[in-house]
Amino acid sequence: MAVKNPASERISDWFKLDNAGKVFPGQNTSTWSNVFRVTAVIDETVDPEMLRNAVIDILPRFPCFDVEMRKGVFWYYLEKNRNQCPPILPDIKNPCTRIKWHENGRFLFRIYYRENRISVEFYHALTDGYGATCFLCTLVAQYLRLRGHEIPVGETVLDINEPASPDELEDAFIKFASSKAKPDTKSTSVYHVEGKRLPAHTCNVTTGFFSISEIKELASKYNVTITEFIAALLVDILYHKQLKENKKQKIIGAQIPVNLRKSFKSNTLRNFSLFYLINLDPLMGDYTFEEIVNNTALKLRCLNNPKQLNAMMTSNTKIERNIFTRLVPLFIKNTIMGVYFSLWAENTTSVLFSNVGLVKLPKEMEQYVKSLSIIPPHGIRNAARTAAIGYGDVMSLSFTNVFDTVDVEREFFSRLVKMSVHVKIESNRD
Amino acid sequence: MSYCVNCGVELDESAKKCALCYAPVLNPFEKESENIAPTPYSDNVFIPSSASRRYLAFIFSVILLIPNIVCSITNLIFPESGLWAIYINATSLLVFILFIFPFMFKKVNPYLLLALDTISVTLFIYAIYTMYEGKNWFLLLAMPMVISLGIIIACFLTWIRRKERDWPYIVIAVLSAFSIYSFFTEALFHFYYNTDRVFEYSIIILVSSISLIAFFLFIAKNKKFRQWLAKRFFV
Repeated sequence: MAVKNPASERISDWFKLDNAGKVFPGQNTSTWSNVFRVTAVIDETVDPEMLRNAVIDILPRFPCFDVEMRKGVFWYYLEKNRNQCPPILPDIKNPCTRIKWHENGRFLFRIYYRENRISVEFYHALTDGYGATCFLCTLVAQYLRLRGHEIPVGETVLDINEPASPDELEDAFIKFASSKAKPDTKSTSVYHVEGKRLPAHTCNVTTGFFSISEIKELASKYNVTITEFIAALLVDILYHKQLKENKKQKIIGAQIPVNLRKSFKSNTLRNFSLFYLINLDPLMGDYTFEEIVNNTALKLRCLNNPKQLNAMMTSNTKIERNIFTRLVPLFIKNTIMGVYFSLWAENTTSVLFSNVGLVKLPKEMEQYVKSLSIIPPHGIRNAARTAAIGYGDVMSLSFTNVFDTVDVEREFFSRLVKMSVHVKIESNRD
Repeated sequence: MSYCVNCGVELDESAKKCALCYAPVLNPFEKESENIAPTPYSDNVFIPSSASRRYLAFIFSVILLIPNIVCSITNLIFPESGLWAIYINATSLLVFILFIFPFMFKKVNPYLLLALDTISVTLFIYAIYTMYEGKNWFLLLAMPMVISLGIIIACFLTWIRRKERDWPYIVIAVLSAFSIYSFFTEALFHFYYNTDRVFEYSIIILVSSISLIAFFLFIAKNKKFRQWLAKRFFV
């Protein structure tokens, strides 16, 4: 039974899409969905009716997700959804399929259940990994409460009896973008793993679970962080793969999204992340793994400062604020974006690694939640898109691959095993 | 708890083979009925509806239909100007069958589509023939040319669909088909105009094709040369 929530008293009628979210509707295709998934595994079989009630209870706390996509003359915008909640669906084999505006009760996120798993798939125009994790944890907490467990508020579990604060709903890009500097936007065409494409709407997902303390110890041997170490390992794998292919050697480009909430004090539940591009040019000479780790870590550390991030953020918001961009009708913007993304999408990215970081839950809740995982949106021509999330001492790292190859995944997890990290694998492959 | 003997990773309880190297999971102490752990993903594949393709095909059909209706009515009102609306109707029908009709279905049998295309092109030419009759050019020239082209394309389709073909062999097949077709059309022309000449332009096509076929055959057979080409002509 759904509970009337005081938070439902305060609901914004409509939102502009945030600065990062504006690019996604123009590239919502069968091959590039921009939908990512967060999953929680709990200690009991999920009851879909109770899950539905939990969604109804928490949705007023997340007005920025309780929306539907609408078309304006110049931009898309998000309007309060008139439906109660999205359908609660039994899980499917091919996660992260595209979300069409008129389907799914017009909601831009989907909810799936299977055995003891609760999964939420978000259209990236709504939020990033942080917002999605907050939503999932609050949903699981409310589900467990409805099952009779005492779950307090705290960490990533939001208080559903309080209304959403204005800073949770803000477009933090616009708020913090204030730099006068121009960032270096030079980008080059990079190496891509090739293979036979899977049919539209399908992708192979491989998730590996390993100990955070083990990987931390490994990274500390090289004096780098976990993110730097994993990014370097992925770059190293692609570097050696390309060498074996006996072609003209192209640059390896790693895209590393960064959560801006750490550098700029914002609690927004909407998109607030940017990405760094770390390049490795094989034509410079032969690299050892240590050199690749150092190269990746140093470049990341050079970029990872509020001044640099602000400059990148400002350059993006400038495009949105430009009077000519604003005055171009939406259908023209869509056409331009569609052509741009179909021709040059992922030209600069060989591999993506998005680390959501360590998620903390209230202590009373930890005993019921066995694991958390995140599946990144699949790309058009990228066989190595990865995302990781940490919970307790377990890090889960998922690969989304649109090709029928498994080389990068196999090499990545085998390398971890060879470095004495215990890895457990699960996948949607047959 | 199973581990992959090849990769060393621990596998999901439900796994029948390793997701990374496809090595089968064999536990001699486990009976088959014991492995009933639920798989992490459902077997149900969800493919979102692709109504937009059909919707667009419908819109284009309507757009095509409107000028046809207008032209046909105008032609009926003013019949003294000749039956010019037939051209527009026939052309529109051909455009519809060639470019719009395939998008109205999720999956169409390619042979059926080819047969339909061949028939519609033949009928289109027949519509023109009814206006410009003379020397029986439809039966002796146009129809055999279109039907033979349809047969050659059908043979090519059968060949390419049987198994995955290497690209040099595909080029060789296209060149061979082109040479055969040029011989056939030239023979038809000689027969139609009742000339005593032997093959001319088809010999030129054949000689060029043979030299190109030899080159592509060399590429197909010689791996080292292929790698060298890939390296030198990398775009």
